[in-house]
Amino acid sequence: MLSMIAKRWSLVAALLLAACAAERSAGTYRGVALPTPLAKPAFTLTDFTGQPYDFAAQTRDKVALVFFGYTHCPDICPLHMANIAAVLKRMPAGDKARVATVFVTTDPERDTPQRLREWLGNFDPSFVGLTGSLEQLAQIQQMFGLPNATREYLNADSANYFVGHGAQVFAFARDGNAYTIYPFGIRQEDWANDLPRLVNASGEEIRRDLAAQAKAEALAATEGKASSINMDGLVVTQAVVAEPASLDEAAAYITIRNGLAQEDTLVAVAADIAVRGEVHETMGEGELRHMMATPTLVIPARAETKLAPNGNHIMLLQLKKKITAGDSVTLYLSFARVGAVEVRAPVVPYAELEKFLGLPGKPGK
Amino acid sequence: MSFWCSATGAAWTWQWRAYPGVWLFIILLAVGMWAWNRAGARAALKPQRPAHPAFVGGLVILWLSLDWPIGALGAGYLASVHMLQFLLMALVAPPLLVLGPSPEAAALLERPGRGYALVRRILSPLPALVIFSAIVLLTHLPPIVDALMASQLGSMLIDLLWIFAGFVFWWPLIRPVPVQPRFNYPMKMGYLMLGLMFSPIMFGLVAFLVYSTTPLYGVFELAPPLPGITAHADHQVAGVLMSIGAAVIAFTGLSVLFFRWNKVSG
Repeated sequence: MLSMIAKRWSLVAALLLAACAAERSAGTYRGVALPTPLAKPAFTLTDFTGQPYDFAAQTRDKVALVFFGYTHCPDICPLHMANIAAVLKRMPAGDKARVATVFVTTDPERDTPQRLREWLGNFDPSFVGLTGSLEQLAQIQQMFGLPNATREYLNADSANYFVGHGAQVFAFARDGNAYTIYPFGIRQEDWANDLPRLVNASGEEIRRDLAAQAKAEALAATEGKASSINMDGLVVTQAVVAEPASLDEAAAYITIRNGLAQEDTLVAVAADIAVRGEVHETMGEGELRHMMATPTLVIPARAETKLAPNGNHIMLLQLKKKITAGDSVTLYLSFARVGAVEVRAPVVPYAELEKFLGLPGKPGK
Repeated sequence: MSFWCSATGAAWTWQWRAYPGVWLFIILLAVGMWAWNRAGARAALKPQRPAHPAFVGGLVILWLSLDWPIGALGAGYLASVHMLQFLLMALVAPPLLVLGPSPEAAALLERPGRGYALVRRILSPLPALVIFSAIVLLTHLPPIVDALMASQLGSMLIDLLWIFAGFVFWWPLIRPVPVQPRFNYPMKMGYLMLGLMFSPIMFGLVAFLVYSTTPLYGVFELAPPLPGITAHADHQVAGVLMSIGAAVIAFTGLSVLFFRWNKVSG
């Protein structure tokens, strides 16, 4: 009798808890959709057994989860690996066999093959660790659109350092394209939602689902249902859109002040007046200067990051309507740690950008 | 230096850290009790009694559960230590703290006035049980825990709510003020069982913590990991701790009540 009462009460309380815990619907991908799918890069590194590992060949027809990190990492790397391992453990063996988790070290000096094998083996023996020369690793990070990992020395002891690296896991679907990435903050329940779908869906189905999801989110955003402004120690200021000369695209500039003790990552941008938004990097100098879309942008801790003319900036593509000086645009920024930030940006003439951005001199073209 | 323990996202180290807010809070509690007892003694025209040793014990337990390392580990690293904090702050320290006010100080609650009437109402068995259960539920809901534990003020709010809830829950069992003629020993035992042993809130939380396939709280799942402890196992330990801890405390309380009842009636 007592156990029956207990069970009933458990259920009531459990339902109450579940109602509060259910934040997102189960029918959507929890990963961050890449603005443009990333084709699986072709590279060969050395795996933790000392053998060459041809990434494209070894992960053919599998979902490949790729993460750049290092085994001395105190937080993000072990968390990602532990969460993926925990979810894989609960997946059916057939589905699990179709997932390849590849950990590429950004610290080849300390991450010897033996250490990689031992460290990854603590999470899941099926995980593969890859290493190479610093030059090789830098090239491969570039292929993924990641900034090169950098060392941050803690003190005069040259053996004691952190490595700044991308915080996201790239998930390549079985068709060889990465449609989603999984930044820091992704939880086991998110992996448990997405991994079986990635394993069992074709590239076409993933594309279609993500497009439908983006459409629904854009609709929710324009209807004012977007998540509220989140400024948990990270503040977006000086948001401005340059009056575009083109009817098709516009550039937006912002300043991000990250007062937190940890870096964050800008993983997605969108606007109410554009079909899609991208973060662009300005590469090269002089006549060789060109822009390139970057999937993510690392926002360093306790620092100010300016997205300004001639540097990193936001491109609003496929404008839905003509915008002119005096209008205002709502920008939606998604950060890996602090979540969504919504900010209003006035549209100003290009010639007046420096005044709004507080930049020295006139911005170049 | 931080005022209060909270989830910081920094990797755990065994290097001692100071939390002056905790020390200030403990001092304020001690001074507050002294002032309450002094007011009671003055009103009764009696000399002030020294603090009850149990109250001092309650303060020590509170300090240990709020300060480094338990406070820091429970605020931002391990759900199991967070649960240990809950047990200490809401179920172990409060019955000792409740013994702090002298009879003269407790008698002050019988004074006329709206404020005193409200306090008496809150400290009555039914409202106390409802307040305790509501606070236990709210302060364990994942969205609330994840939102509050990341800030020092939020973390402090949860801690203070637990202490308040525990104080309110234990008061009617231990102090005869306000007088509750119908709240006899069998009723007290039922109250204790309903609040701790057969609480639907506790059962639900334990079930979710132990049987959920993914960790309940993001703040602990995404905290820098401690070697050898997975987030899932940590949550399961938290569930077991809540289940066994609450049962042991309830059983101890029931035993005390039973023997007192036996003594009184026979």
